[in-house]
Amino acid sequence: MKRSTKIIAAVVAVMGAISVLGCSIDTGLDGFDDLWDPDPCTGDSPDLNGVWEISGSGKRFDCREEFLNTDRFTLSSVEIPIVYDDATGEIALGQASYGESFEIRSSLVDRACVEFTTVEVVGDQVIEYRWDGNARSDRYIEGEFSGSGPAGCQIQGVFTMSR
Amino acid sequence: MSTHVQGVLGTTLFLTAMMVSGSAFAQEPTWAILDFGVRNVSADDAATFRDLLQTEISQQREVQFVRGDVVCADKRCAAAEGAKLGAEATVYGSIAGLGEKIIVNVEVVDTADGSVVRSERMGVTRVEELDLVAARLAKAIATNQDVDDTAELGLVTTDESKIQTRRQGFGGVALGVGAMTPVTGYATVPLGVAIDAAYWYEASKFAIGPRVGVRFQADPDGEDHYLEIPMDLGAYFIFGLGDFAPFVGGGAGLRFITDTRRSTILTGSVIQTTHETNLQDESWGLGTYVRGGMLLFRTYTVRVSLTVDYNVAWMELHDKFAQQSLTMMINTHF
Repeated sequence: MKRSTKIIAAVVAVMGAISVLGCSIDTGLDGFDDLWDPDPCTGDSPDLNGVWEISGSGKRFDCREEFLNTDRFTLSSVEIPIVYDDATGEIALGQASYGESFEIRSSLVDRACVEFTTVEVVGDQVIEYRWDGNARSDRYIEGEFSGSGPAGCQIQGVFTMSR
Repeated sequence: MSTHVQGVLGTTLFLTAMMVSGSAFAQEPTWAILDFGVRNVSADDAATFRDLLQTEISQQREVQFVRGDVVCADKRCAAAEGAKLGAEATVYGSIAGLGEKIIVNVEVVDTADGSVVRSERMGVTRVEELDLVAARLAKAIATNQDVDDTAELGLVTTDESKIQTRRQGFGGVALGVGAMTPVTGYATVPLGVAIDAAYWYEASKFAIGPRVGVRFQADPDGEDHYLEIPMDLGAYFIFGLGDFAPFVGGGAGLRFITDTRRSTILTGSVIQTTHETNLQDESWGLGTYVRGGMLLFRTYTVRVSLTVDYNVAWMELHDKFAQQSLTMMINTHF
């Protein structure tokens, strides 16, 4: 092997090693992977009509009442009847006995992407959740949620909806 | 009107009248001073005392003395002798030795009606202090003060400077350990540990003393726990002087309690969240307790007591007021 070939091979090997190490050490560069993620809203809009239950987990922080702050809470719901209008892409709360203490606001269904907001009034406190999910089927949605309340808390977590 | 008040008023009026008469007529009132009765004291010392007393009274107020060589033991005799001498008041008394003490009695009687105007007594242990007694008694008589109120630097007798004899008690450190049963509050745990350190001062019929203690849950791994620090002053009445003496009492002081309870927190009703957390509450407040107990081996320097306390800490924790507990302890008194 010629000397110049050896040098080129060595340079290529060093650069390769630097690339590998660099990617492993700088995890921040992994975010660029998202640039190549496929559109999460692909596929047809599922039929969301029906009674759903939500479960999940999350954390709550910045609460005025210290006892509400937690690194992990579990989330569950009673049965929530949902009415879906595929013409407008909106969902609404079906017949339920919650009165005016619970409602669904500002919903949007874009193919498999399902976004909606729930607001619940408990006593003098308001708890608001913003759900951002992806329908894996017409019986199962998973995603992330965020929100606020009670006592000024900020909320983040993941959820699943099933029926 | 009490006899004492009548006496003071009478003396005041008498002395005031004599002062007024003295100034009005520019003539000093005449008092007689008789020889003092003497027992176990030399006649010369008694005569010297009488001279000193006469001089001191003359210095304190304007009065002229006539002397009588009669010894009187009562006011009727003194008033009669004073009348014979033409005096308005008569000073008489006695000086008596009683063991190591010398007791001086001095009375002033109104010659006109025979009433006692002043009656004073002082005691000293040394005859050399009779000059102090004369000065103090003269001032008391002249200024109508109690003889105790005439003390000033240079006129305090050796007897007065002595520390008063007091009944002795027995004091020492007491250490106790026992069990505490919460009644209300205290993280609702079933059983706790109680430890006390106290100072116990014990007299024949009572005991008093401060204590500081600590109370905490018996199970160190329990999710619910508390810590109480009582700082109290207690007093107890002791029944009996024997080796088995029951006692009752109580005390009050300052308490600190911290109360931590593992709790499940729920939010929402349609969409519910659940998490576990430690709810802690703490406070300072007034604490009181009543105690019953048995003091054992009381005739020994090291004693043991068994006690039962009912405690109330007057504070609000976890929205409940008045934390109550029952404490049973065994204490050793050193």
